[in-house]
Amino acid sequence: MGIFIRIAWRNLWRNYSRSLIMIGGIGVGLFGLLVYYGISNGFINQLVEVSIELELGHVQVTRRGYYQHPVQSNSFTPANSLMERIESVHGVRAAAGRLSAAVLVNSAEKSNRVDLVGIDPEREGRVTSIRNMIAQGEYLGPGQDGKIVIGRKLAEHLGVGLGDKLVVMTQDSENELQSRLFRVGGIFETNSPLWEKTAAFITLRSMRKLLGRPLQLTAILVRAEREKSLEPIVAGIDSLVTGEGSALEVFEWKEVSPLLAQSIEMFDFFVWVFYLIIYLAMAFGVVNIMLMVVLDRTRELGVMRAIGTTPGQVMTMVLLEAALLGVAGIIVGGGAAWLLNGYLAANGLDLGRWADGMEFMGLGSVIYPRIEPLEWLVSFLSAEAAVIVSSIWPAWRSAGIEPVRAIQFE
Amino acid sequence: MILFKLAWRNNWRHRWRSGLTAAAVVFGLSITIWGFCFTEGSHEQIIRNSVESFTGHVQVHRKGFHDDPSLRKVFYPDSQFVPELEGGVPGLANYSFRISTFGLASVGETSFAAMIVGIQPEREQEFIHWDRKIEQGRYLHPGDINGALVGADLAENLGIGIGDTVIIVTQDYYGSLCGALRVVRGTVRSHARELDRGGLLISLASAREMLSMQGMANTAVVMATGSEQVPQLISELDNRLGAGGLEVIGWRRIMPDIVQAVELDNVFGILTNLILLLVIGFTVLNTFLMSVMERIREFGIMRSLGASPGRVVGLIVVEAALLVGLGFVLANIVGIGASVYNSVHPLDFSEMGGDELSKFYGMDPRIYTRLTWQTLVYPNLFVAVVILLALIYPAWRAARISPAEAVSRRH
Amino acid sequence: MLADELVLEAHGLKKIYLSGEVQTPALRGVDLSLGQGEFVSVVGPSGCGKTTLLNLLGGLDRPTQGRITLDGTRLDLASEKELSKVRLNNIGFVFQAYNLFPVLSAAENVEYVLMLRNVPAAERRRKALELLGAVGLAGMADRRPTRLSGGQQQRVAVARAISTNPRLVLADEPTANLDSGSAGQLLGMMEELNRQRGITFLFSTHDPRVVERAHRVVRLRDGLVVDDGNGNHATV
Repeated sequence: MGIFIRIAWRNLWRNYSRSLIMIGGIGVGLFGLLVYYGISNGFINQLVEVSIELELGHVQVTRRGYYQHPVQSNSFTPANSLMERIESVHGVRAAAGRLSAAVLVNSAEKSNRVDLVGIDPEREGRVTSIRNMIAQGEYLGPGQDGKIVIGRKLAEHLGVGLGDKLVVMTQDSENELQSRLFRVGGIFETNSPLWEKTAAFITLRSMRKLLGRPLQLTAILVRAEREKSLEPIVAGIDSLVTGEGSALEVFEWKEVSPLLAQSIEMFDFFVWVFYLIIYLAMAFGVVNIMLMVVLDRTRELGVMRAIGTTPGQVMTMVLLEAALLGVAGIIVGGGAAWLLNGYLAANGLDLGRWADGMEFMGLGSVIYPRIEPLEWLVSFLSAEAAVIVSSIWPAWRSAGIEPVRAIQFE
Repeated sequence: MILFKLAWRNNWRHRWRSGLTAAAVVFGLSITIWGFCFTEGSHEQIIRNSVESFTGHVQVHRKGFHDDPSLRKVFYPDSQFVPELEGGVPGLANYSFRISTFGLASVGETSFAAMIVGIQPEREQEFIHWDRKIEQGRYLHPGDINGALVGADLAENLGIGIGDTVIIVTQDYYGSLCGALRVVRGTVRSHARELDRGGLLISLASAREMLSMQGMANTAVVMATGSEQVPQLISELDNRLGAGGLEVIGWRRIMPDIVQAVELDNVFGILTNLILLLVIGFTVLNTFLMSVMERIREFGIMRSLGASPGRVVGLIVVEAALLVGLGFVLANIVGIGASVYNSVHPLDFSEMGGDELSKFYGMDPRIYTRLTWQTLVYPNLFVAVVILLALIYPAWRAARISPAEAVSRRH
Repeated sequence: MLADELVLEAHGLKKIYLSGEVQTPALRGVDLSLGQGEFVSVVGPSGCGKTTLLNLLGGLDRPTQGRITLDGTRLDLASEKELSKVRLNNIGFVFQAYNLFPVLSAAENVEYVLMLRNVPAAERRRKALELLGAVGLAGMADRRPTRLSGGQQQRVAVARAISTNPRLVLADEPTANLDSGSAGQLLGMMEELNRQRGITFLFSTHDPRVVERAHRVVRLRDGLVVDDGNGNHATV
């Protein structure tokens, strides 16, 4: 085998301009694929991160049907020490309860619809990242029941700053209109403009008072130790809550957000289609060059056959040459993609020029491309496989070269 | 003629190579054409959905409202708007007035914050065709002061049904709390995101009454006779209304988010297609460089027989043009064919489970491709440029072949 | 050296080439036997069927009619795979145009065949160097063919041909591209190998100086053997 590899390798450099062109073709294709993939992944990761880190946690416990009708009346009263018991499920890091409602927030001049969330500041801090996103003022603390934490965009929209007054209007459990004054205690900034514009936080206690639901929650957010393998956690919590005969259900974040799940699916689909198209485009080039190789070397391959090389060995040699070509292309294209991706992952791809457009898509304007080690590997292997599969037909033709060709065509 | 014959036969001499090269061009170009038509179709749909089902081509507000909306920034249509339009405005098809604000609405135990829009039901019906957008129930009858329409997603999320009573609470023109009772007549699926997810439509008359805004409006929605008339319409309206303290803005400024999203999507589309075309370009480069290299002897002989370098390059170019030209023709047939087919038989993403996603983007999950001269010219232009780039080196190499080199190089 | 033992026996060989509608008979019934250790040349004007005969005897091509037995194997009946094996193990080839692999050094060209026979790498290298020594190229083992003269290349080809200890070496016009000095040297070397190692040589040529050196001369004309020379195994 060693000598076949040597032959294939040296043959590659006999017509180096041809080989370089093909390496360039494979390289450019793979480079484009990987960069595109990294950016797509960056988009998705941002969506996922915002979802997990701010909105949903890893696993959620709600009253059955809450996500079909996410209204405050669909709340539940958690059993005593339910939080502690959830936290004792293997793999769970922390749990926090929330009580949410869609409310109207009025400043002196303007009003806006907001998803107001009552949080247990201490627990919430262990489950989501809102605490870390405070850019101005401070996060909610115990006893700060008169404070509200809002997003930067909402603050701008309402024309308010730290310490300013906001009036929250909502309906309580008795269907009575309630309005209460809060002061802006903190302003958070996130990579999700949509979220920054529509979410606001007060303490769970003041939310319960506002809604007249002294013990209720609309959701319990659970943070897992590890993001993968959430199923055992869901099952573990499920057995806890169904044991109480309550009408609760337990979800992974993916199930809660069909939009996100579909976004991921759609991105995956487009990436898959793009890979397929690029590999097919590469295939034209590979078949072309490998056919040239075989035709150019008809006599040499005939000699090989004449002195006892089997058709299988001839085919192997041609496939090896293609494989080496693929490896070289992967090194070039993969290497370039590695550098660019690494740079962008560290510095971010700033699409600020299209900030409004990104917001329309639910995204912040700086994207951090991301490709996992396994994904690099899969891309490299699939590109190599594509090159080898494309050269099967030329290799098949080379195996059919008859040994008499060694003598003819002098 | 003999040059063509020569070129054709040279291509034929390596039919596999020529065939593969032409096929690569067909593959790359037809996919690019189709891809452009697909993106164009989806973008056009997003924009049209938004413009025609809610925003209008042009909106007129009191100056400053667009950048910093407030209920106090109003105008009086009967004195500030209608008289100025007397004698007709070229390119203007229709218009109506609205008042929009935010408020808290509740149905039974459920309350929600809503975008409340007061519309002129009869006038808007003429160009927004609301009745076609009713998912359940019916449109507002003329003079229906008590009726309301709610966004379909909102109704679905909150379980609101036809005949339910909505209590609306908001601040009026003077900043005081005000309230009103309205009855849900129907649900609206407009494909405009903010409306479907959080909109509550009532009649303008009822909004004026509730908000103490008799005779006022904060928005005029204007429809042009066609989207190409929009720029002239804007400047014409601006001429007439600007002096009266009103501001005229087109749909590009009304929804910069969508315009930018479309632009960004175009950038990505062009970049991904460029990658594809570059890969194809390398194949073309390879074929023509090899065809020059293996004929160094032949070209050298041509040169020694008195052919100029230009003549040799000419032969290469004619060969390439024949081959690539064939590819272009086939690619356009395939690309246009597929695009026309999908403009009648749309791609249905709801089968792939994309309905939430399409709702989010304000689209119909069925996407029709759209063939325009741009979606045809640009892909052809891109491919032509890539191929010309791929031809430079082989042609340059061919031009440099000297009779001496040809003789010294043994086959 | 058992002169009586037959290495190759061909009987009633016919080969007709078809090109379009035209049938061109290249061989019209050739009988030929080669004994162990013979040194035979096939001569005849060009187009007489020399190359066709060598192709058939070497299992590179199949006869239209007739039998070929090499070391007990019927080449006319053998499968493609069996033919590959026979060519690898029982026959060595030397071509007019040398046909060395340009990407391999002299030693590697020899090693290639040994590798096909699964000879271990170290053993391969040792054997290749030994064989190159035997053909007088001791110092040139690592040169690529482009840096060798025609005569040297052909000697590498001979080393390659005998590396597997074949019973028979077929050489098609081995000296045609060589000057007379190199041709003489090559022939001398082949004779030496024939004498020392008992390898049977069959070479086609139309060079009278080469014919002189053959121990037996088979003359072909128009696809028929017209004279089977002075050998012991001349057939009817």
